[in-house]
Amino acid sequence: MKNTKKNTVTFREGILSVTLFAYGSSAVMGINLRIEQDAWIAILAAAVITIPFFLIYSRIIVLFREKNLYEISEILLGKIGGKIVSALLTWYCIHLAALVIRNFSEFIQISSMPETPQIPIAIILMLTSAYLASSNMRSVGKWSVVCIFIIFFLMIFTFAASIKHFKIDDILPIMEYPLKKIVMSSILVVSFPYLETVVFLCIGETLKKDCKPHRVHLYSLSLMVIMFLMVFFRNITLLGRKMMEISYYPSYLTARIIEVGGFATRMEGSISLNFLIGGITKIVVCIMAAANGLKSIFNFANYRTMVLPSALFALALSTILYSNTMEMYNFIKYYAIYAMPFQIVIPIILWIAGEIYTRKKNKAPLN
Amino acid sequence: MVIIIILVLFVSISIYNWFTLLKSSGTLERIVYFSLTFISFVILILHSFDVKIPSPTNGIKFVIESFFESIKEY
Repeated sequence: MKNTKKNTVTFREGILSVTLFAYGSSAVMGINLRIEQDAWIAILAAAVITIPFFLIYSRIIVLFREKNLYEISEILLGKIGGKIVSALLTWYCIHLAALVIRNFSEFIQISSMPETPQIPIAIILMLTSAYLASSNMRSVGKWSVVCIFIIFFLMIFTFAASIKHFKIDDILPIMEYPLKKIVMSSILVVSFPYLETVVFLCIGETLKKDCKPHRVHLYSLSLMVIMFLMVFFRNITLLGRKMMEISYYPSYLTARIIEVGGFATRMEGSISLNFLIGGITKIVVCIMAAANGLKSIFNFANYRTMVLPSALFALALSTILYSNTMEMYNFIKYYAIYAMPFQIVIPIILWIAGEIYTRKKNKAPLN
Repeated sequence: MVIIIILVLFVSISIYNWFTLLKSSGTLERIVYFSLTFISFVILILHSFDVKIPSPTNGIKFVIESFFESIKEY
């Protein structure tokens, strides 16, 4: 990607796009961890576990300003090692885009279009995302600023509208589940969605030079925690523990029963809008990162040519991922382990290699 | 119907990109572009004909289960 002013995001845009990205499919899937009322503990614990990894991601950006993870891996691991890492990360980005497309096509089919096949829905999602991805990161940043306000407004509105229905008993007793299960659940939240933001490192050159990446990461993590806790408390107090546990889309179900003064009812449409905005942002960033990866692997001049093939491949992949919705939810526990090399192992290797490289580079003129 | 949608999608995208983005691009860029597009097209067409295509999810599950057998019970 050319490093022009047009293709960089400001501090505020960075925070909001990372937040919106993480909000993406976790909003539609819901933070459903099978620990009922103790899920809020897992959300908070996951945020604490995530902090060191976010600091590692930030350090990588600081060490190699205006470079993306593909370029960094080529600098640190050599041409072949770098290309292998780039290929792995590109696959992860395409796969993640496919997973999100599938989450949304499945959601739309179940919630509002049961007779419509998923492919046309997925095509519309893919085309919208590819269009936004083929512009530049600045556009995504501006899109995030506008969209996060819509999401926050709708979230606060539904939260406020449901206050009178809250049954506080549903969040008690605290720590009913064993600590081991809560820790396991928090690991699921770490991998999906917190550490999925590793994808932003693949377009890391788009963050303005004067922005402090650790602040971008930590501010967005705080926003994510606030959003997830709000959604969780709204859903559990309104639906009750058992109902939230068995429903596939608890936020959507919650919105169906919220009514304000008898005239503002059936607000599930607004919730669907929230989901779509977040989902499109996530798909856009994944496609941009994948196209950037292909550009890096094959040494192309521009990433834009690769946007549509990446998007089409993600679309095709999304159709064959699962055979039903249950399988989609069942994959979350496998995903936590599957994503570990991309979210934890590769960044840690690159961070350690980056520290050694930078120290050697700084010492070199003295010798 | 789905097959027609897929055909229209791929034909229109290929024609549009041929006259815009791919006009000034190199041979390798075109090869990668058409390879990915072709693979996607084949997968989508086969899927629309209800042909069972092996999913990467099953492969991922198989590998993870062989290392962490207890994951099935979680």
